[in-house]
Amino acid sequence: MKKSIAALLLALPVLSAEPVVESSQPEVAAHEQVEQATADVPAETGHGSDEFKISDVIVHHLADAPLWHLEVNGLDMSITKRVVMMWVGSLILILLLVPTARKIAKNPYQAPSRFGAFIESLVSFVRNNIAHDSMGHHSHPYEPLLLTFFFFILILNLLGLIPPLGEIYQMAGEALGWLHHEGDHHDSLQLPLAVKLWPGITATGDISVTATLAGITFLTILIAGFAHQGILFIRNVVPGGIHWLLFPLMWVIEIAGLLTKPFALAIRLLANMTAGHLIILALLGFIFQFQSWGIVPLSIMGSVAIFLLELFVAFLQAYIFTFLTALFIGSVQHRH
Amino acid sequence: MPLLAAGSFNLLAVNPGLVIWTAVTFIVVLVVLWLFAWKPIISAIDARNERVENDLKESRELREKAENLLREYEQKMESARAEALQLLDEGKKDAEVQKAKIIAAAKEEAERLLSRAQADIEQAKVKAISELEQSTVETTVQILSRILQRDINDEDHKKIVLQELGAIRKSNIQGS
Repeated sequence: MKKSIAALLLALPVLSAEPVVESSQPEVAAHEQVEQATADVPAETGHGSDEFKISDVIVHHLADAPLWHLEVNGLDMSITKRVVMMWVGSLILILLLVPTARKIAKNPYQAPSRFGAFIESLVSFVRNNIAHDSMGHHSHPYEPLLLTFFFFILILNLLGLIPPLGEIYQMAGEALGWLHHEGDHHDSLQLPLAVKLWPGITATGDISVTATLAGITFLTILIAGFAHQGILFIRNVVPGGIHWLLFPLMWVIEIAGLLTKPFALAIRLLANMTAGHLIILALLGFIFQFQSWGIVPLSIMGSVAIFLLELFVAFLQAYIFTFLTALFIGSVQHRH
Repeated sequence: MPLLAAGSFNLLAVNPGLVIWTAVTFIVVLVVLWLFAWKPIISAIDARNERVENDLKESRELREKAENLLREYEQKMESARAEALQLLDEGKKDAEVQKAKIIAAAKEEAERLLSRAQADIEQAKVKAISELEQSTVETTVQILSRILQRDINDEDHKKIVLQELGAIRKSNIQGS
């Protein structure tokens, strides 16, 4: 719901910039400022244009963009929106989990607080229903990794559902007239850092992020394979009972299969986390496409429904990523 | 994706900088959470589970023990009750016997008393009769001597009177 409101607010100045619609038009002066602001925001992503295009809005919401430019040895290491979002999520995770863990560890026999119990139930769920079910009693060393996967992906998925609050503040302020944007001059009410510190983007909706996480899964699978089977893991990749002539071919196929697993993980997470946002943006885009009030209830109701679905998907995808990682690790712990 | 292509936005373009940042961030988060969150939480949960398990086992054992004790006590109660009943029975029987004994003794005593009383009465009667005889003899002697106006010695008198009395007694006995 916040997302849809955010999208609406984002589109608000754009709406009033259109030559059509609405009897209660703001004065011309404010109108012009708003138009400036509209031009300014997409300029950050480098797709600025005065004319409203829904694709620009979608790109603005889904695409990464550097907030602070940084280059190390010619490699672009800019702190982008997703990097900031990742750091915000990590900070929230650490600030929530570490004190909770301390409290639980201090007095393990006392009934935990409500939040502590919630965290504990999630931890127990990952340990019992994900790690232990896939790996049996070998699960112990992998539990911290799986727990981190689950909570890291979950928090990034969830944070992606909260719209860019700084941007909304900026837009709302400019549209309602308490913020003025004139060249380099900034009001004291302006919160330039807020826009950057809460970019409101889904970090897990990027192939770079999901591929990196899947790469960590892949490395873990290899490490687990060698740790449990030794050097024979290389031969045991191919299931037994195959004619020796077929072995080279099978080996190539099985290695490809091994690579497919993390690839599928990366694409699944990316697609799931992007699709919901895309649908919400498309549903809201109908309003501007059709230029009609009649479509508004349908768009908003649809967005709310998709938002709730996304909330579910955020948990589901964190679970699936973690569960499949556990399953893959479990599958290489014993030879076929 | 023509819509996205318009914005020159490629969903599958990998940004190496972001990859590095993701890897670094994830590993830092992994290490921090491993040391300061997962380890304490997991050990706390395990400790609690172990304790709960132990408590359960202990309570199971205690319950078994209690049940055994209860059974034992019930058995004891049962035997005590039986014993008590037996004692009561015995007591009743004893009392019955005692009662019979006492009654018999009392009866005996009463009979004894009765017979003694009868004997006493008999004795007293005999004594009284002999005393009466004595006094009768003396009185008779006095009367007779007065009538005869002469003294006969006592020996004679007594002889006569006794003869007479013997006759009277005889006639009395015959008469009765």
